Amino acid sequence: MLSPQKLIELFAQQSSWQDRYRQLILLSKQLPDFPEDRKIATNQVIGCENRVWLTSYKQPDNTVLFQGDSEGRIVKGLLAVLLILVNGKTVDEIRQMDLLAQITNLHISEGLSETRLLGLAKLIERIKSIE
Amino acid sequence: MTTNNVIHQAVNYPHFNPEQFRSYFPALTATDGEQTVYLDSAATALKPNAMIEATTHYYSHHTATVARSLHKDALQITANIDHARQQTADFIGAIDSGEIIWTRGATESINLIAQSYARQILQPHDEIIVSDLEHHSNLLPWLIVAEQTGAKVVKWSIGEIDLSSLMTPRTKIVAVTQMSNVTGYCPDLAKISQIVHQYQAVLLVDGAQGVVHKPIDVNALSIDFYLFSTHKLYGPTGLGVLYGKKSLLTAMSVWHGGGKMLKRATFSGFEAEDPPYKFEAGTPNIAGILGFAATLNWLNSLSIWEQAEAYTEKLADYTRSQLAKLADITFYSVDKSPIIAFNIADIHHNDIAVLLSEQNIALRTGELCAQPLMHKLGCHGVIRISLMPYNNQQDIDCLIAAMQEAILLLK
Repeated sequence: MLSPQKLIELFAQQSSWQDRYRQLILLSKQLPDFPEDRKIATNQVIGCENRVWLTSYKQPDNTVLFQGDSEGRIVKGLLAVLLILVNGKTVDEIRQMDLLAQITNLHISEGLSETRLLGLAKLIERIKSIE
Repeated sequence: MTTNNVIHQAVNYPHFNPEQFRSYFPALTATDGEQTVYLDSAATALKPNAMIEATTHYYSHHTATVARSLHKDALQITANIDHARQQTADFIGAIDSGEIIWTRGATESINLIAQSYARQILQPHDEIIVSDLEHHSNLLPWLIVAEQTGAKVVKWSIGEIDLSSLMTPRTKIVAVTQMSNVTGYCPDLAKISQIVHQYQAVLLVDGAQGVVHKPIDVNALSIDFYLFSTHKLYGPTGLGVLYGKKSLLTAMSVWHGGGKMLKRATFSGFEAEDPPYKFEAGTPNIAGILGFAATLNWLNSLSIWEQAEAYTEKLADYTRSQLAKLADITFYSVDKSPIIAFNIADIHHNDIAVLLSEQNIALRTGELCAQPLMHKLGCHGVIRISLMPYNNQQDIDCLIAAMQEAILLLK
């Protein structure tokens, strides 16, 4: 996966809305496979119109690794972006991040972060709720 | 690329001119900024000038209350609101304007019936039959009143099970839509009404989706309760209509308490007004009612109903045939319906919505407030295009081009 800095550069290089979505969809395809048997209710993020699943694993050095999946390519792409930003950080570091602002700053689309139905805010809430 | 040829050649409409009809809607003729292709009319219809002007006129020139104050403007507004009630009664074939109640929308209308009628008459183990096509607003009020009374909500799988086989002496209410907001299916209301009344039950018809496409005659069909939201009939938001047979309305308990729903009040009690006023506590949506009256005047002056619907059917045919060429598509809606619900193989409906929105196409995706029906259709959501006579072939051609772009990105 890309580093957060490369992510910013990647979207800054795209000149059309089609290209930005194309990159978002490519990112969704780079997410590691999510095991089907973990697509259970407790792993589902409530409040997203698309079904989204998220699991996390705390490593010995206290950093967290998230894994996730969604049935839509665009939501899955947003999930991939979020995981690039948070994976490998500690719980405290994640809590202090303004993830919505970071996604907005990628300028993928004006409407994307405001689309309540896509559930981006709920996804961020779930990521930050990890203990 | 020719515009409108396919649709225009198909049928001749001596009284209906699609481009003229389109010109009544300022949202479609705005010249500032990028024009949105509006294919979400089943969610809310666009508004004609006549409605917008009547509402603005009230706020600009004659702001006054109704049925309370005695100054000149207030008396005139009171007369206008009474006239609007009569126009609404005429529009749906009600005999008496006293059978028309103003509400906030279709949802409030059904909740009013559930609480003021059903809650009063239902006994434990009584049954409310609800079709499986219903919008949540014609299901949740019944689930709530069933919980309050010990009655039972019985699912009617429309098209699979005969209504007669579900009717029992315990059936008190049958609730069904005039037109499904997902499939566009229109149940046979004449037949349903006959069966319901054989069992001395009461028939409620949700006209929210159907009212703009099919004229209804509540009296001829002997419908007991009929309701709709005016915003889906080219009218204002925040206003609903509830029709009820006079004998039922008279026997019903009151709804909200407040100003003007009573004849006398003391600290020990009150005497309710007669219908319809006993269900209309508080100041009504005056601007909305006047705007809706203007909408009805405008519709009546056009008298284009049948030809406009025939035109919309042709446009729906064209839309479906163009969509079918695009990809592997599953349609859920019935043929010729102004509502076209579908999914594209291996593509999530919300991905389409996002990518069409980027291209200024407005439509609706998701469960459409009909989760039980989605379950029956075997999906978690659909893409819905909803057409009105103000749409044209150019709208559909824009949609198809935008869909091609979206599918290309998602493949």
